[in-house]
Amino acid sequence: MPVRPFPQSPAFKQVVSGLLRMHQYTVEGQDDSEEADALRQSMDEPWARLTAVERDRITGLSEDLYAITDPPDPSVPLPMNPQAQGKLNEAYEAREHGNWDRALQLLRRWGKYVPAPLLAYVRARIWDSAGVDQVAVLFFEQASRLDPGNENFRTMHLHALRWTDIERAKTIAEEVLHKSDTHSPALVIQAADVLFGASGQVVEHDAAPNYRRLIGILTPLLARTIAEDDGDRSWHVGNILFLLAACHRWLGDTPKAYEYYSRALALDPQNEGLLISRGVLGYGQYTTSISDFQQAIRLGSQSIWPYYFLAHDLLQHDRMDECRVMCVRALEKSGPPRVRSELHEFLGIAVASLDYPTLLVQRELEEAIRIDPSNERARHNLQAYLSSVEDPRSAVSWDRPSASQARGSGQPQRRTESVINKHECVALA
Amino acid sequence: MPRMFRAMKKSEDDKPTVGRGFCELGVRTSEIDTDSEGNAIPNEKGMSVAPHWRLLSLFVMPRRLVAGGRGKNTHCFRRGDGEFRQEACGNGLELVPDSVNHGVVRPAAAVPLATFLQDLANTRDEWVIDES
Repeated sequence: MPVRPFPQSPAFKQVVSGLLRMHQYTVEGQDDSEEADALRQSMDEPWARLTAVERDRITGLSEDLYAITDPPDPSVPLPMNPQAQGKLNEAYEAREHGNWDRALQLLRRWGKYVPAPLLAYVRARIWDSAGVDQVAVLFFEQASRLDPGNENFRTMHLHALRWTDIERAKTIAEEVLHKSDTHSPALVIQAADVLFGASGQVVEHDAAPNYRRLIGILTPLLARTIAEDDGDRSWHVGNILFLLAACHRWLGDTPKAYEYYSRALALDPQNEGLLISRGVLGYGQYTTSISDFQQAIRLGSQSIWPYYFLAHDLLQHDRMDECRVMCVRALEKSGPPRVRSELHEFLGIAVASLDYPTLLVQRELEEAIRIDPSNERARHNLQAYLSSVEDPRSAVSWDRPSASQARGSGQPQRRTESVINKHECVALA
Repeated sequence: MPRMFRAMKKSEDDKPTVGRGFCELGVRTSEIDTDSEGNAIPNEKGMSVAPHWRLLSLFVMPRRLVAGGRGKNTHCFRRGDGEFRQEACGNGLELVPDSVNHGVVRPAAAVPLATFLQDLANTRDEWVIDES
């Protein structure tokens, strides 16, 4: 199923947000309140700015949301007939082609032939693919509530909550992890990933007990999953290994983390996230790092990290023209200010070594300082360079970061990055 | 006179309820600006209307008319038969469209707020339920 977001104009976003608040008032039995009326009135102006397509889309969504708050219809699902089957097939095809509005319309008309939990789940998947997470999460929740025994629904609900309501996601994740041996590997992995991501938001010292706890849950889960004969086993095992590696990594157990990353990569050698993670972990310590980054780039990585570390490595080895090219490619990606500052600094050093004009060199080093004023090394390198320009007989003594210093750059951001790839999770469920 | 639609609550005689509450024939405090002397002033604010009931906001539409409607106890009323354009629409009143889908009825000139409200109330008998 393609990922093709709905265009989200400011008016569309405003009205969807208003509709979801109105839905919440309905859930709470407050849709007759003064606050609800004030909300209704505030929607006049943005509603008038919607296109006809947007109005139809939101009107349909509102109708679908009533399926959450209305009492269940005991006659649903109706017995299937050839016409309904044909229309549902049409809805499936529309969805496969990313024609979300058409698929949702058909489901609205013919959904009464589908079990209600499945209908809610399909709606959620469509809104998820259309990039409206806060709507998707409501339908995932409905599916999960209507069929509490379906752990795929719960997994997707938890995954969607992670991006819309992290506090609620953490509460559910804790419930799942508390009885992890009674849940499916996919749900436990998702819950572990929520807790892992939340741990990245606190200082390493405070997060350590969480990492240790996750290791205590994931290690038996790994054994259980390997023992189970499940079609999704390799996906589960790969993600458990990934999480175990990440937990060991942030606890400082590099050899163990490296081992888990390597086992995960043996299962999924094209996994860009794994390649980058193992590359960063082993940078300056394991010879596999450089080839991991090179492979990630060959796979079309949009992450800044493989480019950053390769630029640093090329700088260390005085391969200045290649370093220059790698810095330029890295700076096309988004990344934390410190890392971008250092890339400008590396670029300045590289172009200085290639005898580029002084103004160009100076511009890069000044940009490094502008982006991160705390980059004292860039300040020092700029001074050293300007002194050498004044006295051409003296060579510049560049201050270059060590491999371990490079590993430290952007580390806070890397700790918060999710292990589970969103679309892989969707594909699993 | 321009044809305009508005979702309003109805009284027992099938005419709109006059008042300053939500979906009544009148304006809420936030829908009109007044000057220092308490006069309602003609600017971009006023009582919301649309050129057709199908263009009214989903949030005021009754669910019996539109399956996703979020209005409560409202009916769609029509007044006038002319083109939806800037024009006088009753004693002391003026319609000002702000888009093809929406407009406001505002005072034609600065008048005491009570006068503007009375001018709106005076149109009550001209509104008829039209949900066709």
